[in-house]
Amino acid sequence: MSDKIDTIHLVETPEGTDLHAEVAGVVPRALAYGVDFLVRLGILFVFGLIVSFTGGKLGGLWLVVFFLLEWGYPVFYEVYRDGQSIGKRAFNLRVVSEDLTPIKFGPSVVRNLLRTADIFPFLYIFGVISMTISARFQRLGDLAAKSLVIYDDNQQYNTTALSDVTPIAPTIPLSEDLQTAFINFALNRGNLSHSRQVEIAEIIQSKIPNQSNDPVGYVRGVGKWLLGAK
Amino acid sequence: MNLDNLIIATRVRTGWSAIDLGFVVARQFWLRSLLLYLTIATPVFIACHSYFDTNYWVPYVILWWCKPLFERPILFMLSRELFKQPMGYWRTLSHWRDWLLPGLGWVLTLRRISITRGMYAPVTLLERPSASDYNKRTLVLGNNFASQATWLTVVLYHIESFLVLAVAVLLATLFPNHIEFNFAFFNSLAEHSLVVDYGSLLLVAVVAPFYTAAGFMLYICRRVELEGWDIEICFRDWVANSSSPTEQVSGVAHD
Repeated sequence: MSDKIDTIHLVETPEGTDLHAEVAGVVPRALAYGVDFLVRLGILFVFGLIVSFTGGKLGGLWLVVFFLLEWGYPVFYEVYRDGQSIGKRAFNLRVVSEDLTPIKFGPSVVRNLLRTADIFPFLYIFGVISMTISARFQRLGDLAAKSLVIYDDNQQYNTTALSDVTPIAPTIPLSEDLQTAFINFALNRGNLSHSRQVEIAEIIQSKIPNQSNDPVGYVRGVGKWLLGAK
Repeated sequence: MNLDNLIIATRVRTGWSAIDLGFVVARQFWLRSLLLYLTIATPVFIACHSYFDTNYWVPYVILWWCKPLFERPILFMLSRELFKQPMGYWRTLSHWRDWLLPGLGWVLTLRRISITRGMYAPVTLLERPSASDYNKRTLVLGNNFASQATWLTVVLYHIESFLVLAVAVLLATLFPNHIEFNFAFFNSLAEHSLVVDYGSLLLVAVVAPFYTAAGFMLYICRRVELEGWDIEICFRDWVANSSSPTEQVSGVAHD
C-alpha cells in the first residue's frame, strides 16, 4: 500500500506505535490565510475608525496594534489555541510540529517570522512554490521550524441509518483499514445501490462465518459493531 | 478499469484533501504535462499573434478561453497513468483522436464558463454523456465537492496571476537598471515583447498541470465515494492476502 500516492504523513514513536495525519496543501491553506487576513483587516479598520474619531491622537496605538496583529496573532493562536487560528479552524486545519506534537513557542515564532521569506517576491509566491514542491506541503517557514499543517481528524459518524441493523462481532481481528472499510460500507457514505452493495460484500464471502447468505447484512452488522454498538 | 492498478490511495476524502492529492499527482507528471500543454498552446498562441498583430490583448483572451482544450491531453494522460497504463509524451500525442475532438464544442462554449470546469472536464472527456445525462451526472458529482471545485478555480487563477506579477517584480528587483516597475510597465506590455508573451505562456503552462490534476482528483475521489472503490479494494486485498494464489479473485472491476 505504501507505494500508492497519498497525502498522509507517518510518524513512528519510540514506543513503536505509528501516528499518522493528513497534511494540508496549498488551496485550503491559502483560503485559511485569506480568512485570517480579513479578520486582521477588519480589526485594523474598526480601530482605524476609532482613531480617526478621536482626532488621530491614538495613531501610535494603532501602529502597535498593527504590529501585534501582524506578528503576534498567528503565534498566539498556534501556541495557546492548539495550532488553530480563526481561518485554520474554519478549514479544519491545525499547525503541529513534524512529530505531530503541538507546536511550541520557539518554532511558532520562527515559522511566522519567516513569512518574510515566503512573501518574497510578491504575495507569498515563494511560499506557494515551496508548498507545492516540498513532499509535505511545507512553506519555507515550516521547513525552518519543522512544522506541518494537518487536517484535524474529528470525524463524526451519523449512525441513525443503522438503527435496523443488529451488531455482529467480528470473529477475527481486523486491521485499521478494514475497520474503516466496514464502517464506510455500513454507513453507505456514497449511497451505493443495492446491487453494488451486494457485489462488494460478496468479495469477502469466504471470510464470513457460517457462509451467511446475506453478506450485505453481515458487513453492515460488523460495521455497526465497530462503531460501538454492542 | 482495474482498480488494483490505481496509483493513488483510495480513501473517502474531503474535497480539500482530494485537491491536495491532485497536487501530489501533478508533481509526479509535471514535466510531461507542461510539455503537452505547451505543445498544443504554443501553435495556437503563435497563430493568434500573427493574425491579430494590432491588438496585443486578443491572443491573451483566446489563450485564456482555450485553456480547457490545452488541458485535455494532460487529462487524458493522467486518466491512463492513474491505472498504471504507460502514456508517455509521444504516445499521448499519437492518441490525439481520443482527446482532441470528443465534446470539444461543449468545452469551448457553454462548459467553458462554468467555474467548476476543472472537476467536470473528466466527465466530458472520459464519460462522454449526452447533454441531459451530463447535467444529471454533474449534479450527482457536484453535490459534495462543487464548493471545493469552485475555490480550486478561484485560488489557482489567483496563483497564476500572482506568479506572472511575482516574476516581473523579481526581475525588477534583480535588474533595477533595466526594468522599471511602475504603471508604465504595464503599458509596455502592449509593445509586442516576445519575452513577455512567451514568458506569460510558460507561466500559465506551469500552473495548468496542477489545476488539471486537482480537478481530476476531485472527480476521481467523488467516484471512489460514490462507487465504493475504497471498500472494494480493501476487501479484495484482504481476501487475496489470506487465501492461496489459486483462489484469488479476478481484479477487473465493472465500469
